[in-house]
Amino acid sequence: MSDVNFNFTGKCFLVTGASSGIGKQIAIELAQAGAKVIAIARSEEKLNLLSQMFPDNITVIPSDISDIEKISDKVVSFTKTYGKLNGMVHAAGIDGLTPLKGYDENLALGIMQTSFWSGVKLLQFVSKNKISNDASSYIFFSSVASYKGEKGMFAYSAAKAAIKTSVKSFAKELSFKQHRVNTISPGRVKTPMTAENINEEVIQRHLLGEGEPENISGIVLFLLSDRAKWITGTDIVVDGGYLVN
Amino acid sequence: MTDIEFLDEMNDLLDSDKVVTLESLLDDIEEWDSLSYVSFLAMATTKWGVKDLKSSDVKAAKTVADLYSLVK
Repeated sequence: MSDVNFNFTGKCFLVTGASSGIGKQIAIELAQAGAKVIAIARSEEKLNLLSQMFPDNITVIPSDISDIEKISDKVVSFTKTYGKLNGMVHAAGIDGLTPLKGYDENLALGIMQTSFWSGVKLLQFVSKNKISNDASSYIFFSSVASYKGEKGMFAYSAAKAAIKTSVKSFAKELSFKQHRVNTISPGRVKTPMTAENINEEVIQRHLLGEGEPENISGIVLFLLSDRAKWITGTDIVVDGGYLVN
Repeated sequence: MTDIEFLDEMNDLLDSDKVVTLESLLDDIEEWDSLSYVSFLAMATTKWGVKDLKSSDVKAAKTVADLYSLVK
């Protein structure tokens, strides 16, 4: 049992990357807290399993995050049933090694597209008056990789730095409706995505060890809540002490 | 671009609860702020292919119709 319990009854949120890892954990905890959640990811099978856990709370949209037209139609439909959104968490992302000598250009561009450009397009859509209530909270994922370089990670670092910096502009542009836009910079968290790229040296530099999705979801729910109503345009590092080491 | 198409774009840009018409006074539109002004300039160039649109002309506009006359 946690020290903190959230109550999001009556609230609606959109979560991308919801089929696994951090995104899935966030969708689960929001549903547990009573929210109605739109869960977006590519894997229809995994989304359906998620939806079965919370059939009254989770609506799934199996889609690539770049297909804004498909997503927007279904989001509009959701808002007509459940009401406008109170926030969004863009947890979708891909990583991969892109060493300077011989990197895969498609992978490098794909990392930027998924983590950054798709997030921008999504924010442009969800922040519209007809989709979001005033004072909504939008959260994007940067990374410790935007602070500290690791070999072979320039594309990932660039994408995460791009979203971290852009959020400051978005915060200014959306503040008149009391919308808040922030990033979270996690350290290395055990997820199916990171499991494909194990780097023991990097893991050991985390003072508190490798993180779990639950170590990240708490700060996300806090930022989505009214207790964070004075926080915008900033990045919150949640890294188990990686950057300090 | 027809005036209906222009108004669709303007209503999307302003994203207001109120629907604007060509007769709408810009001073009465709460969402016509510095951000919308910059967005209008960007849209005029990239979407409507308007060249040499002066920011002073946009600033001088009083109504939505005035803006339309700058880009049609």
